[in-house]
Amino acid sequence: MSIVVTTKPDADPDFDPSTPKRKRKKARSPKLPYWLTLPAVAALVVGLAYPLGWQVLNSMREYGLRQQFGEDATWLWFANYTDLLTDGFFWTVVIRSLVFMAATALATMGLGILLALLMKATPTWARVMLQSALLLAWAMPIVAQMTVWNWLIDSRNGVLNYLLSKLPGVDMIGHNWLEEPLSFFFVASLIITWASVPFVAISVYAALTQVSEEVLEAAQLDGANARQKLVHIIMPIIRPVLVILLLLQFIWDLRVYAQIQLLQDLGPKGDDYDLLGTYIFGLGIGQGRFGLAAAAAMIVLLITLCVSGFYVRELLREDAR
Amino acid sequence: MSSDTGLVVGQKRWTSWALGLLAWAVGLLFFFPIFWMVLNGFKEEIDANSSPQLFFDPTLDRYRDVTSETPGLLGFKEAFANSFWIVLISTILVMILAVPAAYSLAIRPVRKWRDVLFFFISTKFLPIVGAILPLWIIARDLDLLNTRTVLIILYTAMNLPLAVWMLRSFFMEVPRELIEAAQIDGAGLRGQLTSVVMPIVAPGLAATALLCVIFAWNEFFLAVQLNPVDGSTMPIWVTSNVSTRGNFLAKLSAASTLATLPVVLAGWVAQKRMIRGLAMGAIK
Repeated sequence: MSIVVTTKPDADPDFDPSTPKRKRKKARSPKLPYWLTLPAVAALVVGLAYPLGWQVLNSMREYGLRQQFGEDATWLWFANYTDLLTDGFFWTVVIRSLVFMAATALATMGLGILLALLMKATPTWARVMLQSALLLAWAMPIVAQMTVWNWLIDSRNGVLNYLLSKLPGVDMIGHNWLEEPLSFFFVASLIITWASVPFVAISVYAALTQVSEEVLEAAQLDGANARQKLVHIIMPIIRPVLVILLLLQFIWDLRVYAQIQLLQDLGPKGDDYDLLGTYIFGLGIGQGRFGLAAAAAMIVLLITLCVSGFYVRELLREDAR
Repeated sequence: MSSDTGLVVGQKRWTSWALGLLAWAVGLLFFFPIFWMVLNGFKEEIDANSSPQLFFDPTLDRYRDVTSETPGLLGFKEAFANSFWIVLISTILVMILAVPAAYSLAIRPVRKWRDVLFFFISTKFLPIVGAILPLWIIARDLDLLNTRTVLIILYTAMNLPLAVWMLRSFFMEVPRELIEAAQIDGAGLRGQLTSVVMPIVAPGLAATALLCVIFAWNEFFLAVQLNPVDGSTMPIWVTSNVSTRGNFLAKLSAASTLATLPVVLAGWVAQKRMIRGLAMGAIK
């Protein structure tokens, strides 16, 4: 491998054997990494500081439509928070969102892992097709995904009802899948799972390909069975991937907005169909109670940090090189 | 994962076929909705809105409908141009900012690099729904509402954390010994980069950039909130084909197909690298 290095220096404009060593060393001064990281960190801090600061400030103030047009916002300190935390409906939405998040994320992970194993086991002619289909579904814009699903579940002319009605004794034509809240969230969860499984499946599959065949063969020679190979060799290697994937699913599914909003646009409206994303949006943009919305967003941020912050830090610790 | 004892070749072949067929079936399950979307785009509204049928007289009229310009409404050409420039510029910006950061976090770790990385990924925790009002207010104050600029800035910020995270894992693939060897040979930073690092991470750079392209192209929420009038992107154009009067399913399908085509083509062309890139980004 070092051929790459030894044959190239002539082509390197910086390389000059006559340059005194001290001068070259200066270019590699230990400050450099900080300068390289700085622009990205600065861009994010600048981009984040304002919205986050605004959120923290206004979660403690009375901030409605009048304030938006210049009136002073009065300080309420933690009144917005206590209003929310003593509001039974807010808790309903929080718990509903947490259940929705857990169910969707676990379904996504389970199916994704199964598909990854299938991809690993299946012959190439089938794997290529499966991968292409998964990538296709994954790369589609959400609005396009929703177009498709909107039509699949349509009550009168939808494919789902059409196919179900083909079963003997079943007549589902005219059944509205979005009317019942439970059914509404089931459909939403199904759509989100359909859209997120590809990412999980492909990532886990790629992690599986990192497991070296020689090690597996060696284990086999030593008499390990399939379960032992899975538990002692494959799992330790793909565990970090699974953890970070589960985390990302948790984060994404907890604050899901677009799909719920687009489904609500199709018919059912009202509190019973809200998750945290649409709830906060309704509070803020919908009702103009921005202080309250900011407080709710802060609470969601705290929940997310509780769910995932710990794991991220652990993961990074394990990652030490 | 079958055990090696006593598996006849014929049996093995049978298993392989069965698995292959299963994989095809699952693939078709994912592909089916997309297939019907494309099909619907070539139908008359009346056919698209009746019971599902596989055979019909295909027509290009819906594509003509959705690409025809109506004064005052977001047209296809305008939306496409907006999406194109916004995606292109924001992706270039992301790469310019992320590559040096990821490089130094991976190869020349800064002190407290874990905290820096944690900071990057934690920015993804913020519910964007909650941040929309401050974003809207600052955009209004800077006269950026309904401009391409506001989306370029926001998409750059949106993709930056993931790009740093992913690129770092690609840079970590570069064996340290190679870099040290180059250093001993007297190569400066630039020499190390061009002769050692870049050849190894180039596929990773491509995969990361492509991921940013897809995310930016598909983004819906910020675009619809901040640019409802001008400077809006393809996803908004798709929803503009929903009308309150009459049937619009075939039109919507045609529009969705047009909006999907570029990313799907890009993703398909770079399939292999993407898969690696996705995985590496998630792994390390």
